[in-house]
This record gives sequence, C-alpha cells and structure tokens, in this order.
Amino acid sequence: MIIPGMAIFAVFVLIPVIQTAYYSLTDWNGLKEANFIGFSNYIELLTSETSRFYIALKNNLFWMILGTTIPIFLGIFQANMLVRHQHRFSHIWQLIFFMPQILSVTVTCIIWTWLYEPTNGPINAILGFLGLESLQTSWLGNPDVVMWSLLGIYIWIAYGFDTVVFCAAMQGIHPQYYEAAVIDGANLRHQFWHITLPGISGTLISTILLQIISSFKVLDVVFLTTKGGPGYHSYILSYYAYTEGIKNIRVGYSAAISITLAILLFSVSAVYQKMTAKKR
Amino acid sequence: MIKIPARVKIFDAIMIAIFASYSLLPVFWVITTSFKTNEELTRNGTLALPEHFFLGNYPEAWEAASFSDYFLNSVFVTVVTVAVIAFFAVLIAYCLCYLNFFGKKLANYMILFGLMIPFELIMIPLFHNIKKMGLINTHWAIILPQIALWLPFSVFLLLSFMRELPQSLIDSARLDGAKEFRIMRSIVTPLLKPALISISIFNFISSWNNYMLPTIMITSDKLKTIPLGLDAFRTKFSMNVTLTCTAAVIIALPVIIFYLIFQRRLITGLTVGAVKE
Repeated sequence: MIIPGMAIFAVFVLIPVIQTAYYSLTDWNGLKEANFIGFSNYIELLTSETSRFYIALKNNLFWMILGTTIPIFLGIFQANMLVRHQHRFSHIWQLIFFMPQILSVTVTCIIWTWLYEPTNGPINAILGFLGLESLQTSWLGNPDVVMWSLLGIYIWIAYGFDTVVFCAAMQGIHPQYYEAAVIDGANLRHQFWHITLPGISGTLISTILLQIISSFKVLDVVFLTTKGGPGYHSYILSYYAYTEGIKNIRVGYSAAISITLAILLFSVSAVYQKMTAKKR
Repeated sequence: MIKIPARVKIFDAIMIAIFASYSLLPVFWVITTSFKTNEELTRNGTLALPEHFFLGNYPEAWEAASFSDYFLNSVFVTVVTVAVIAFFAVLIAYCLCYLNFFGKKLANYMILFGLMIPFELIMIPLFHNIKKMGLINTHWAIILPQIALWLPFSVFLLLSFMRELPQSLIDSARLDGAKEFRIMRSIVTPLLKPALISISIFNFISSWNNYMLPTIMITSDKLKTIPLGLDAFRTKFSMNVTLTCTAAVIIALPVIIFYLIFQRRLITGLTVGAVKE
C-alpha cells in the first residue's frame, strides 16, 4: 500500500537529488554524453574570475541572517502585544498580518515592483509628499539598496507567520504564572523576560530553524523582481543555478551550485540543531 | 486579569497601526488602482483615492490575459494534486503508524529527508528527466513533482495526529476481525478529518500559487496556470499599471476568499509543525 506514493516521491525527488550530486561531477550540457570531470565544476565555481559564487553566497547569508532575525523579532514583539497585553481584536490583527503569506508570490512581486517603481511608485510618492526627496531612489535598480528592498518584500511575506505561531505559543502559557508574578510585584517587562520568553523557548527554537530553511527558498522572489540585477548585485545561489542550468544549459556546473547550496543549508541546520539540542 | 497601564496601550495601538499599514497598504493601493482609469492615475497620482468606481478594467484584464483558460488549468492541476496527496498520505501514514513491514525504517527516513529538500536543489535534473519522459509541456509535469515534493509534509502532519489516536481502538477492531484496509477507511480516516482538511487546504493554496514549477515546465499558452497568466500579462502590458493591478486582484481574490472562510484550519495547518515540536 505504501509503494505507489513512495514511488512518486522516489522518482521525482530522491532520484533527482542523486542525479544533482552526480551531474555536479560531470560536464553534461543536457544533450551529449556526460563526461566525468571530477571536481572541476567546484574549482571553477570557487576560483574562476567569471564566477558569481561569492556575491551570491554573500546575498544568501545576508538573507538568511536578517530574514530570520527580523521576522522572528517582530513576531515575538507583536504576539506579546496581542496576547499578553490582551489586545482587543487580537484575532483580526493576526488574520491581517498573516494574509501576505497566502498571496501568490507573483501577486506579491507585482505589487512590490510597482511600490518600488522609481518614477511614480507609491513609496517614492510618499517620500515626495513628506518632503524627503533626498531619500527617493530606484529601489530595485540601485546596487546599494536592492538587497534591502528584496528583504522588505520577504519580511512582508514572512513575519505574519511568526506572529501567529508565537501568539499560539503564548496562549499556551498557564495564566497562573502571571498571576503569581503580579502578586510578587513583577511589572510587564519582568513578566516578558522571566515568564513569556522561557515559555515560548521551544517554539522559538523550531521557528528559527523553519525561518532559516525558508530564507533559502526565495528563487521566485528574485526571479520575479530583479532577475539578479542590477548587474549581479542580487544574485543568490538558487538563481545562479537556475540561469546556468536552464538558460545556459551548463547542467554540470549548475548542479555544483545546487549541491553547494544544499551543503550550506544542511550544515547551517545541523549546527543549529546541535547548538540547541541541549536546551530542548 | 492583569491590568495593562494606559501608556502601554497607547504605545501598542501606535505599533499595531504601523504594522497594519505595512501589511495592508500595498494591497489597498492595488485594489484602489484597479478602479482607476490610466488617465486618472497620471492626473491624480498614485496615492489619491479613485474618483468613482470604474469597473472597466475587470472585463478588459480578464479578456486580455485569457484568464478563463488559465483558471480551468489551475483548477485541474490543484484538484488532482490535493486529492492524490490526501489519498497517498493516509496510506503511507497508516502503514508507518500501525503496521510492521520490511523497509519501514527506510521509509521513515525518506519522509524526514523529504521534508528538508528544497525545490531549488532538484529543479535542474527534474527538468531534464521530465523532458526525457516526454511529459514536458503537460499538466503532469506540474502535478507529479508537486505530489512528490509535498507528500512528506502531509505524511508528517498526519502521523503526528495519528499517534495521538488511542491504540486500543485499532486493537479492538483487529480483534473483531476487521481487515487493515477497512480499519483505515472506516475508523482512522474519519478521525483524521480535521488534519486531512488542514493538509488539503495547505496543498490547495501552495498548488494554486505555485510559480517556479509551471514556469520551468510549461511553455504552451493553452496550458498555463493562473500565476503565469499574470506573468504573461506583465510582459505584454508592462506600461499599463491599472490593468496589471486589476489582474493581480483577479488572481488574489479567490485565495483571499478561501482564506477568510477557512482561516482557522489554514493557520493551524501552516503553523502546527512549529508549535507542536
């Protein structure tokens, strides 16, 4: 009974994973026979002049670090307001903050490309309205701000998820703890640091891991907004793998990029899980 | 009840107003712009409210992007994906939970491994394999990889629910001579209904919104799904902001309605993994 489902999984996920590892050691271009060339692809990736590896890696790390910490920080902050400060309509606000999560990424990117539009986009229009013309810029065309603009899109999508998760976690903390704390004279700040934060630590650990993983799954955001531009300033590893593998049909080289990405993702998750294993 | 000081409440209200604008204003502007004419947009600027509700953009956008075809394609792809995943996920989770068989450990590891595989890692070989199988430019090139990629999460979720069902229920059914298949169908599946609904909604939204897979696999205009419709639109009418905004509203509307109806189940489905662990 288990076989048909697992077979689909094996054919369309497991085998491609193995193939990726194999192709990364060959010069296959999708048509002719593949030649085994050892680690040449990796050497080219790491040392070649034309390789975009380091800029893509830097952008991936930027995205991973800020795309994990900022949404989680905002999520805890908001959940604390909505749940601990007994905000009325807490449920409705959760619904609103979560909504970007369910929109198609095409819609999201259309909205944000338009918001970031330099000539008549709403963001520059607001800045102009407030008399802050000096801050107006081409948000997706300026190499210095493009990664921050993309991060703004990503946080918009992601932070509502964390808010909802932490709301659920905080609602699970027993109210007696807070009542006891109040009798002992603890103010809201003490309550947050000594009851709420320890109470959600389990959820926090798993949410950080989920955010790290999802911060790597942003191929579509880059694809739909900047296509790696301007120049190569918003290249990320998965977009680099896409252009090499599907546009330039250098399958071997592209596979080497994918494997590097996988190694990066798995080692970050493994280190993180090791670090937090004791606390669980 | 703990008393919240007034200044904290005021601070909260300000912060929530800021975040709500961040989350809502982009969507709000897109909706208002969809009711404007292009002439009005240039005359009054982006931030002004529409002078009157101009509905003409809607039929025009619908026609221009042949959304009716895309809509049917999306429905087909999504329904098949959701149904097949639900069916296989119950089968696999049931076997992994209640039966002992050769290779069970391996199957368990495969599911856990599958949870971590990002699409980005496998897309290149997947594209070439599907080309070789002759499935490229068919709906199966979207459906089959979707099933394979999302099945592990659905199995994982069902398993965590199944483990909380009382074992005695299964044991007594077995004592009464019920076959495994019957236990699965008549006892376990009805009890799993909430979890099944959650994973189905989750898979529905993911499939409906999926962008990269159809982009890579589908080139024929007739077979495109809704998210690609907006894409085609963007390149054809890149200067036409009002029409593009209208198309975005058309695409997002079914999902938003769906979200408002099923919000609780959907949010549970999406967040249960994080809270449960």
